[in-house]
Formats: sequence, C-alpha cells, structure tokens
Amino acid sequence: MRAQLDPEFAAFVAARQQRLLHAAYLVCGDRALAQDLLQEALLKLALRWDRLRHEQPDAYVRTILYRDAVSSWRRRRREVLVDVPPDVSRVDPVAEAAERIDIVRALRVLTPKQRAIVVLRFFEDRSVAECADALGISQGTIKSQTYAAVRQLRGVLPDLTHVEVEP
Amino acid sequence: MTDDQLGTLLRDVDVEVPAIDWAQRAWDGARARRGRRRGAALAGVGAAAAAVVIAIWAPGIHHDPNPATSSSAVPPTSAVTYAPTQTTEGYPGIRLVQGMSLAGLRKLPVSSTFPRDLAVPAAPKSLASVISAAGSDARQLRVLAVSVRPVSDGRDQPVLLVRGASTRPTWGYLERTITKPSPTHGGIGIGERAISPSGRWVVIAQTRDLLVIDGQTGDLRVLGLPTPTAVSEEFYVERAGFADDGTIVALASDRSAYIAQPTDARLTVTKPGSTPYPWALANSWELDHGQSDAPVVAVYGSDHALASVSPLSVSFSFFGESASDGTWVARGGFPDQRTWTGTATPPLSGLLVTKVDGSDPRMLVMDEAADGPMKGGLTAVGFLDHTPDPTLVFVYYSDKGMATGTWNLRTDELGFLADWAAAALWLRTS
Repeated sequence: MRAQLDPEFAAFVAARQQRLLHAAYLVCGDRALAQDLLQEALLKLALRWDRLRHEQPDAYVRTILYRDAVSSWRRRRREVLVDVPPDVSRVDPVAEAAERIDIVRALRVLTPKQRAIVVLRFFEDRSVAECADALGISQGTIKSQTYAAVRQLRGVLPDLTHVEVEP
Repeated sequence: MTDDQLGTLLRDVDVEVPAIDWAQRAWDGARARRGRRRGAALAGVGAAAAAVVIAIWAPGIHHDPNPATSSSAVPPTSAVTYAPTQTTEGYPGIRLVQGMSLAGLRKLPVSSTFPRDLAVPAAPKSLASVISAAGSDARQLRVLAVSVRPVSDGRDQPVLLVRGASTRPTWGYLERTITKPSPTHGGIGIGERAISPSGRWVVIAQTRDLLVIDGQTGDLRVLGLPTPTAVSEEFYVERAGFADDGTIVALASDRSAYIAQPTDARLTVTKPGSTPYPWALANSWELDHGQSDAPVVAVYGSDHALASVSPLSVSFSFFGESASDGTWVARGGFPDQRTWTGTATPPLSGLLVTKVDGSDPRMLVMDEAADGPMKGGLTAVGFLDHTPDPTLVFVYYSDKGMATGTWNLRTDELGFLADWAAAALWLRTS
C-alpha cells in the first residue's frame, strides 16, 4: 500500500461519499453512526484497494457498508435501550421537515435487515440479485422481506398503499 | 404511491456530508491499521513482558479521583512495553539537570510503559456515537485525554478519550470543527489542565473565545472574553485551563486573567492588565529555592500550583501536580547556569519539575547544538495516573523530529514512542 493517497481512490470516494452516507443514515437512523459506518467501509476498501480497483469496488464497499450497518444497529440496540435514536429526539417538529421525519421514523418499524433491503431496493434501485449479494442472503428472502417491510410501512405511511412489490 | 415515489421520499432525506477529506482519512487509517497488524505479528516475543506490565494495575494502585464512579474491574488501558532506543542518544539534546545545577549530559536508560489506548486511532468513532453507546453510563463518562485531528486547512476536530464506569476508554471526535490555533495567537489551543479535575469538561482557547466541551453529552458551548475598551488585534486568549476546584482560568494576551465555571454564561475578569500573568491571579508567590532565576508561581483555589512564568522568558505554562506526590512541572525557557552571568543569555527550552514547596527540583532541557541552542522544545502534556511511579508525559520536538516521551519521576527513566506523534495530546491531571 503506497504512502501517498491514490488519486483514483480519492476520485472514487469523492464520487460516492454522499450516496453512501445517505444510505448508511437511512439504514441506521443516526447521523453520527452513519459517518462511522462510512468511515469504516472506506477504510476497509482502502486496505484492499490495490486488488479491488480493477474489480468491483462499488459492490465491495456497498457490501461492507450495509452489512456493518445491519450488525452495528443490532449491537447498538442491545447496548442502548432507548425508544428512538438520538437523532430523532433532536429533530425539531418543524412543519417543513415533517415529510423527512416521517420516512426516517417510519423506517424504524422495520428490522435492520428490512431497512437495508428497502434502502437497497428503493433508494439504490438495486435488483433483487444485487441486494442478495450485498447482504449475503437468498433472493427469496429479499423478496419476502421486501413484501413484509412495505406492508409494515403502510401502517405508518398511508401513502404507501399502492407501492408495487413482488410478493 | 409507486416504488419510484418511495425512492424519491428516501432520496429527499437531508443528509449533509461533513466537509472532511474522507478519502485521505480512510487511506491514513488503512495504513495505520496495516502497520498495527504488522506490529502485532512481530510483538509475540514481548507478550510475557507486556503481561508483567499489565499486572501492576492491581486494584489499589490505580489512582482515580472519583472512586465512586469507577470500576476496578475495568483496567484503565491496555499497555505495551517498548524500547525503541536504548539511551537518549536517539534524541539529541536532552539532558537532565539535577538540583538546578547542570550535571552534564547523562545518557538516561530507557525503560517505560505506555498505555496503548492513549494513541489516537486513525479512524475514531464520533463522540456522539460513543456517548450514545454508553447509554445510561453516559453520566459516568470521564475525559481521560484530549487531542485534535486535522480536518482541513485551518480546521481541526477535537478528539476526546472517554471512559465510563463500566466501559473501556474510547476515543471519540467532536463533529464540530475548531480553528487551528495561529502561531501568532499562542499557537496552542489546548494545553495543560485543559481537562477539568472531575473529568467532565474540556476547555479550548479560540482567539477571543473559550470552547467548553461537556464530555458526557458532547455539547459545545462558547464563552466569549469580555472585550476590553481598547480592542486590539493582539487581544486573544493565550491559554486556558482548570484550577483544582473546577474553575476555568484563562490568561489573555493583555496579561489579564479571567475565570468562570463551566456552566457560566460569561467570563469574569479578575485583575485586568496585570503583569506578569500570574500576578493577575489572587494568590501568587515566588518559588524560592536559592536561585536568582526562580520562576514566579501562581496558585489558584488551593495549594496546588497553576501557572508559572520564567523571568527569563515570555513563555509560561499551566501545570498540574501529579496524582501521587504533589510534584508539578513547568514548561518554559530556563537559563544555562554554566554560562549564566546575569546578562541576556538564550534560555534553554525545557521542563522544570519540583515539589510544590520547591524541593527536589530537576530540569529536562534541550542541549545546545554546535551553533547554539537547539531549535525545538519540550512540552509537558500531563501525568499518567495509573502507573505506580509519578510519570510525566511530554512531547519532544526538534529539527531531528518529534516524539512523545515519558519521564519516570522516581527513577528518572525516560521512554519514547517515536512513531506516535502526539504533539497535541493532553491528559487529565488529577
């Protein structure tokens, strides 16, 4: 690993950091934790950059980010027994932010894995196969969990009534 | 609503990326992690020695000023034994001066221990997530050390090492950035005694403001200096720290002293325009040990020394007493008594350690190079509070490089960790 920052790595990160951080926040629901997750995923990518630069760095960093997000949220939930994560409690109930708060809060009714699936499917527009690869689970599980997740979201977001998902 | 609309709803969530160099940070973190793995692989033969070192942290030896809030079941840190150099020859120019009279250059044996967890990780967690993970233990969090990490040109992020009653020490960075201190404004925003004796608060000097960080909540408050009548560009906070009773004491460039409690809304000036600095505080005295160049010492709130000024140097320092025996340290320029004639002689940069009553003085100074005093200096960053002997941590810097060192004040042994540049790490002094 060279001492100086690889310009290609810098360009890769610059192009994707916004989207990756966004995805991490949607999955974990905590801005600080999302930044930690992004930092750790990029660090792991940097460790393997020499090999991955010519392969699929996108898929690798996505896999790391989502899997860490799911597992860290599980750990965190065991450690911190709170009703809502700190970020939510700090958000002011400003009307113009109501929609944003609703979707972030709505995601909390889902399991960490369901959140990751919803974010991969509807935020990242990933196929069922890509979601399965990223999370290390079967395509059948992706389909069934997507269906279950959207059903739960309907309870807190009535407008989702007509979301079309494969059962 | 379609799945496209759900996607839009997810994409509309406002997520701002902090203005930090993610790529550089990841790259540096990866290199550091790879280096640690390599070091761990090579450290197998030292495992037995390390085990011996860890064994000294038996309950009762570890000092904690808040025993009610700490758990003896949690060791303060893990430790490593290191000996990167055999003598001080690897660090040219350091010498120990016994009894305030130069005894010539001694090659000091190097043997010490250093808490591994004091090294700031390349990719620390955010302080918010550390606090959140502590859950109900957050109210018991104590700041053990504070450092900064560069975020961009001119901006730093404070990084705090915190520990709860039942958690291991963990570094966490504050999301809010601070201005990198200007060399013309004292050069150091964080200094000795930057951490409150209770371990809850951290104070950082920022030009004309003090930033007060609550280590239990991560909140950051700004305390502005009352602006003097004649505003000058040269008016700024030179140094800020905590007195033993938890009062924040700030010394300004106009030689005024200000005080406040961490939760106060503003600072109060105690004696504007005094000179030199220590006289601005209520209780000052001259350290009398028979030397004409005795530093002036200021005391605030108790019998423990708080700040000193060497009459031969404009520099001054806060300093803290060690946990075990009341030893204290001052940083500054000190005269070389071999050539001291009362005329202007370039002082030697170094550290002065004595008891508060002036007994047992010793200095660690930078020696002269062939062309005069060596450029660089020694900076005290605090005392380790979990070693059996009073041990001072300091930073050595010269044109030869920079290193963090430990000085065992009982045996006068020095230790260095050359690959850890902790020039801005400050420890809590009890």
